[in-house]
Amino acid sequence: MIRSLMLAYSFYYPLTMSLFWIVGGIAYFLRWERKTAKHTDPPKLTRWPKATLVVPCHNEGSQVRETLEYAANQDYPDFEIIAIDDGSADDTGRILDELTGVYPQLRVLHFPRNQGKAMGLRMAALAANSDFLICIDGDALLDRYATRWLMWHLVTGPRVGAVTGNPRIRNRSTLLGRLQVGEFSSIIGLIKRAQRIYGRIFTVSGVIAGFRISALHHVGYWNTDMVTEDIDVSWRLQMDFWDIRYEPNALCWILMPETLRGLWKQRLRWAQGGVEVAGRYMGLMWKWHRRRMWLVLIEFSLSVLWSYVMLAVLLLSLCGLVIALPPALHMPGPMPGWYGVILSALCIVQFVVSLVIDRRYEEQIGRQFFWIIWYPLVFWMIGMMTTVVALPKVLAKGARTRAVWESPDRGIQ
Amino acid sequence: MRAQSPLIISLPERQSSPQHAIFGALTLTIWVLWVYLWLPLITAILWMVGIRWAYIQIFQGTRGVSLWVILWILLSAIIVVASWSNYNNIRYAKKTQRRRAQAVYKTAIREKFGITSPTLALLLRERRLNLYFSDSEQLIHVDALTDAPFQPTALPQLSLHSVVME
Repeated sequence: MIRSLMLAYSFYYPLTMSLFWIVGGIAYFLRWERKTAKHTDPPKLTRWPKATLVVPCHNEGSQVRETLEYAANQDYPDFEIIAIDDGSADDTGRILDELTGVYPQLRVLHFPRNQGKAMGLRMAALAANSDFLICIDGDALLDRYATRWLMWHLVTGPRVGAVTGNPRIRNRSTLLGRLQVGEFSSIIGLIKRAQRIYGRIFTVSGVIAGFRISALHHVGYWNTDMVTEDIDVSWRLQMDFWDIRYEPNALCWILMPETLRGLWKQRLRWAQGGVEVAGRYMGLMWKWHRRRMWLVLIEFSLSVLWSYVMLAVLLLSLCGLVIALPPALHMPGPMPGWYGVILSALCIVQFVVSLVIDRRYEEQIGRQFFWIIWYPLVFWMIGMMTTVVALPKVLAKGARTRAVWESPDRGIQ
Repeated sequence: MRAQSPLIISLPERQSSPQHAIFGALTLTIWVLWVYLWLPLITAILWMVGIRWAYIQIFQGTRGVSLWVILWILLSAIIVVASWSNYNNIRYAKKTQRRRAQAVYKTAIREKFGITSPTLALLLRERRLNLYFSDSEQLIHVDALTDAPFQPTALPQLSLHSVVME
């Protein structure tokens, strides 16, 4: 009985979610995306209130010139840039100071000691001369029209507390880089679209998101003790009934890890962040007026459970190859049979759907899909393992431990 | 490919969408009826190549997987997503529950962060600043940098623009 349940869950959970993502992605495309203009032709507004672009940096000396060049080149009538040098040990602070002479709209906050990204964002909100923040990472290149797209939502939608953009991977030299191109397009993009159709989003992308300062003020800004401040603030905004929207036209070019070690560290942080946020707000969620967040929490909990079930199925299958297990624990061998056919067919359907939707934003994206065939093997395994490791790490983590910066792997450049 | 003769009038796009869809669907139905007439021959061929066996494997599920179950999940996903999306659209699309997102005054933000008015003025005005924090994450000191180059390890230097937090 338990064996059958484990097998069924390990198979039907990803299958069901995949079908919902595909259908949700198509619904989003049909309802909103296909009617919008090209990303180089953002909607017009009658007023363009001032925006503050926020760029928190920690040891970004090799990237920050390019980042600010793109930030300063926004096609938006009125904006300032606040860059935060958060205790950098390299020449980030000097470069930022130097760039204040190049870009008149640039202002710089130096933190002599590393305070963490959340504190940088909090101080930017305090120092901003506007009601809206557009937050990007120190190594991210903002598309020229991204601010217009994000601000359009914030200006026209009074309920909108935040808008998340569309991160695109820049570094594609290695297999891991190419895999992530497909992942961001076919998995993350589809999930965001499906979640938007549902009405609640698991998280904004920390690398590109717009915020309304009054919404942040209501929820107490970013928490400094969370591993992933973006997931945390997304949940709190939505628990306070602010809408979070997804704008695929707001493009931002980012660098991702291209080593297994770098990828593992990044994904472990993401998994840990999810578990931490779910754990902290679970108790506050069970009120009728917060019912729209229930499914977000339930879906995340099911994904954590799936990781453990899948690991158990894999371990029992491997053990069954070398030792005789009791019938109740005996799992099928490695030959997947029709399970494999169905999952592989569904993978291809998901990739094709996302490719068709995504080609609006990047020409020749189809070329990257040759490499996506590795995706199920590499990322499902990494996703499963990081979740399995993250849960005990979060339980062992002391309450209110400060989260500070660690420089990530940025791939081959 | 040879170009079509200019004498031929073929402008299917000038039909209305329902007209196009109805004629297309009717033609497809006639094709299905045509294939139906061939059923005895098709059955014989499929029996020879073992399609019956494949049908049993896939749709009746020898290892617990039935394609019917997956099709039911897909159908449920379509019904749930489409009805939920339309429900939200009908209920909320033209309503604004928060009529006006209330602006937050800078004084309220200042109070939230526990800083003084001169500090806030400095933060809003100056282009280069050093910010110092206590171990309890409280902003304790703000230093406006003027012409002096930034020194990451330097101790706070009080200048005309400096404000010590209370």
